[in-house]
Amino acid sequence: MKRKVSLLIALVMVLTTLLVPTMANAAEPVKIGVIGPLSGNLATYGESTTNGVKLAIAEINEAGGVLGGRPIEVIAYEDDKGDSTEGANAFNKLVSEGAKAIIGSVTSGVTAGLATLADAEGMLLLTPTATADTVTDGVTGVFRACFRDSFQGDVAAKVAVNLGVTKVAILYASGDTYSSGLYEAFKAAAATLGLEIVATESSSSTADTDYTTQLTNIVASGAELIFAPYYYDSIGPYIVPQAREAGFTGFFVGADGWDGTQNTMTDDKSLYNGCFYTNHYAPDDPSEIVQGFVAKYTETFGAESLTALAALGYDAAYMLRDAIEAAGTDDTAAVIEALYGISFAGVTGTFTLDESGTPQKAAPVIEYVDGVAKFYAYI
Amino acid sequence: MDNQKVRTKKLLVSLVGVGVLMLAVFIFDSLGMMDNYIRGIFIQSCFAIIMVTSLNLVMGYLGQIALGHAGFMAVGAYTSALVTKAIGLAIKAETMAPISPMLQFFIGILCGALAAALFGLIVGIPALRLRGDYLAIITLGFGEIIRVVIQNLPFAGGKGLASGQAGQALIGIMRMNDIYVIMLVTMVCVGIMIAFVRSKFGRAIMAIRDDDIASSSTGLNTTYYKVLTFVFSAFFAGVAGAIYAHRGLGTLQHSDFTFLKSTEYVIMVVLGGMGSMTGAVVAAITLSVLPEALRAFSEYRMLVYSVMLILVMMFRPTGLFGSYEFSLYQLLTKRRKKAVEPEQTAAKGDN
Amino acid sequence: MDGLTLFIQQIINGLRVGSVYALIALGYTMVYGIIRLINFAHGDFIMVGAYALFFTVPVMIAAGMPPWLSVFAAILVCATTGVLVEKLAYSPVRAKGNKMTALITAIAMALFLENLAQTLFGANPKQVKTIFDLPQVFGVSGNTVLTIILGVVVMIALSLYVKYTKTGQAMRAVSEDKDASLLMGINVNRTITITFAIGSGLAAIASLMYVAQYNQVTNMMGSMLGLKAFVAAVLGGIGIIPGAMLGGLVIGIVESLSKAYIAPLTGGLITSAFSDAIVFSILIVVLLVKPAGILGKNTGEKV
Repeated sequence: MKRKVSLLIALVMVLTTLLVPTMANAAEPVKIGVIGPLSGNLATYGESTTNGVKLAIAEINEAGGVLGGRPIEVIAYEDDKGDSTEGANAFNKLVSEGAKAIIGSVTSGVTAGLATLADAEGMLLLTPTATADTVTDGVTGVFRACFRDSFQGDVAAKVAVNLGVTKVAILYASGDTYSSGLYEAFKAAAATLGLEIVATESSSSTADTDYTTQLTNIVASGAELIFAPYYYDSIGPYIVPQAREAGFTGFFVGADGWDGTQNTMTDDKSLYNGCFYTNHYAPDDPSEIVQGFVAKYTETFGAESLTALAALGYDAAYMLRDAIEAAGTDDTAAVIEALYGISFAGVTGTFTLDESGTPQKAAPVIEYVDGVAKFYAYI
Repeated sequence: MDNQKVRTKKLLVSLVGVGVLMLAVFIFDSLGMMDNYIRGIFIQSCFAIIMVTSLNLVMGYLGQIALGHAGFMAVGAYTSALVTKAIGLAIKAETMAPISPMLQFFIGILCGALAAALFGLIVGIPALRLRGDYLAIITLGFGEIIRVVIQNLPFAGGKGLASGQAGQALIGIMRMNDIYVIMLVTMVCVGIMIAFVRSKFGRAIMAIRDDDIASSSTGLNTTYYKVLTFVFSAFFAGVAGAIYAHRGLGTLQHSDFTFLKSTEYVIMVVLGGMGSMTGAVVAAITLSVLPEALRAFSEYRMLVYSVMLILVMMFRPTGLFGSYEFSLYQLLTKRRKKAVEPEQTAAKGDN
Repeated sequence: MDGLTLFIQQIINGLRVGSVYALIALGYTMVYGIIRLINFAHGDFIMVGAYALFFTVPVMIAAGMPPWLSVFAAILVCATTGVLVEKLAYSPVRAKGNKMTALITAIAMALFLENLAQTLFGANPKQVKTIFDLPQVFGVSGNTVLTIILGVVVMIALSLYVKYTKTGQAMRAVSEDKDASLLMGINVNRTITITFAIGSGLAAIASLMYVAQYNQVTNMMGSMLGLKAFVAAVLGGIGIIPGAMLGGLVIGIVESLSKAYIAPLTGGLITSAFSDAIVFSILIVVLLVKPAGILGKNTGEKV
């Protein structure tokens, strides 16, 4: 049965890409483009996100497309390699090939460049995953499906309060846009919430492998909780085990970059108890829409790449569909108009887009219990 | 043979060549054959040309490997971006008389280039005391240091200057993606560099490359010439950085300037030919356009480059063009004469 | 924790990183000592070894054997890679070109291995199972103690090998004067090949200790690691076996202490984020002030 469904989806996907151009007269497709890092160091992120988009597009087209029977055609899933110049080339290429809207990119660094281009050319850019505050700053036609970092840092600080701690420490990568943005947000929120920051330690990049020195200082400062805005590939193998080895017994709080840590943990899963992070959705959320997504995604692409990024990619495609339907046309300017202030219900929550194009939504907090990600609370 | 008359003729021919080239671009453009995609790649080719030719000064003509060229590019990029930003803010606050964006851009380029040249001097004086692999590794070290310092400067991140934030990508940079302006800047830069290598300075550094001790015994101040070339090279890397910063994305990340970026330019220099400006230009254009033309396979780009590099080192150690130089003048005057290409000992390096 | 305990703890943390650098630097220095080539790909041999371990450790566990035994498989893979790199790329280029072309080939080889690994295994980091389950020794992690012990054993073994065996003597001769060695009837190519095999095999041992410490393998892991180990080798005196060991430990300790104390010392002007820059600054200072390194003498014995 499972196999049949996935075959069916695959078939639909193949058919939409093969047959759509030939049926142009019957129902002209709405062309869009997708950009993400499909190769290079960040390929995992790109893979999850574009898989989410692919799944949603296949579903939309299966259900009759948009605007009364027109399918959505993805011109190409372009690769930006996590590099802003490559991203710009992909963007320009898609625009010159007639894209009405572009979903992408995945990282804040690349998306910031694309946002400038989209603003200058009146193109619609919807990033599923770029959380940096600055991405939607002072540009029009740029939207996202995720919340922004300042909100996330705020929630993380509230988690700390919720856990009943007062002394917190921060470990962040000072050279990384994502990590340093979250650091600033957390610091500001901690000040207003009355948390005492007893230690602030940094590494030059998220690619460091040894954090023992910084963690030893943190342990010496008597911190009860560490806020560590890093990605899953440093949290799992390096930061948490090294902290436990340095004698840290308190809590960890992280952000959405943590999603996927369950795949990078060392053998002793008990080290990760007391680790919390803010995420875009909770995979164990019993609601029908989340479980439906999890089931469909796992059938089509397997469980390994199922992360919050996939959920955001999936939602982004549906947001675009809703906006096109609301605008009643695939004219880019009209769709941009429709997308501002749109209300949307998806896997990553029910929300309205504010005037900057950012969703106003809640962030579920996830907790690791013996290596399994469990929904903790909405804070 | 190289008398005044011939020189003037050569210059004229070059100028006509430049004119024809610009006209060709103009015709393509007005026929609507250049969309933003093509324009973007055009601009990338332009700053790649400046980067590769300037690195070629050090690698091909001075015979030393520098692995920190992206560091100078970063200095140029950040300095120019912050300068145009400051000017923009000053004009907005009406503390400064409004000037055209073009002029702002040129001031930015100049500041970026001078800053990069200054860093070239700071790095060059100690580094050029060393040679060969030590020089390579020390320039790599300097390149990384420059990058780490930039990433920790609060005014070089986020919105920049007073409202800046360390660690963030710099955003809101002025856009200057007029292909004619950039093309002109590129041609002027390459022109100056060609003039440099053909001048007595150029001959002096090639003499040093071929035999350091012999040159110094003839009274050449080898350190002076080495440092001069290095500074010159850094200056143009700064220009390339300034173009890069204003290329239209409005954003700069310090991670655009890692040692891998430097290596990419080294690859371009080597494939093009160490000691050939023609080769450098051709390699820069080819290796900027080809990955775009073969987007589907661009995942394997570095794999292919590295294999090509090893093969070139095995079978043609001076690069594909060796020290061959294309000359329009020669092409026109010696149409049927077979050009005698002397076997040159270009890019010999030190032993 | 009082100041002194903290200081000692930070030095111990430095040994943790430094012992791995030292182990890598031993292989680096070995190759440089003979052919005077910065083998940029040496860091990537560590990566090759780490992937070998990633694939063989589960096999060992499934067979009920101690996981560290897979280091022998890794040694085999690394040594083969090293010899292949030498035979297929370095040797032909060395025969024709000069120092510059050799160095470019080494850079190209590093890029090749990194990108090949990405194509073959993907960019996703891979986790390796726990290899050693060692108790702490006087507050120092068992892995670190074992790494240092291994480092010292390797150092002594290498020194003895180079000093007393026939091949070792040949190595020293080749490093002194390649042409003269040839005239003296030394098979230079064979000697260099053996050097590469040993140097790369050592990389596999370094991989084992790295993976035991850090658990994760990526295709880019060798790049920065190799550079730092190179800095260590230069600091200790490149080509000098005990120097590599010393340099590695010193770099590790400097890195740790600078991360721990530089921010308060400079009033937050320079933070722990500068640690890589500080390591490179050490390299620059050493190269300019004492290019022969800490243990280097002009007449010193070179490998």
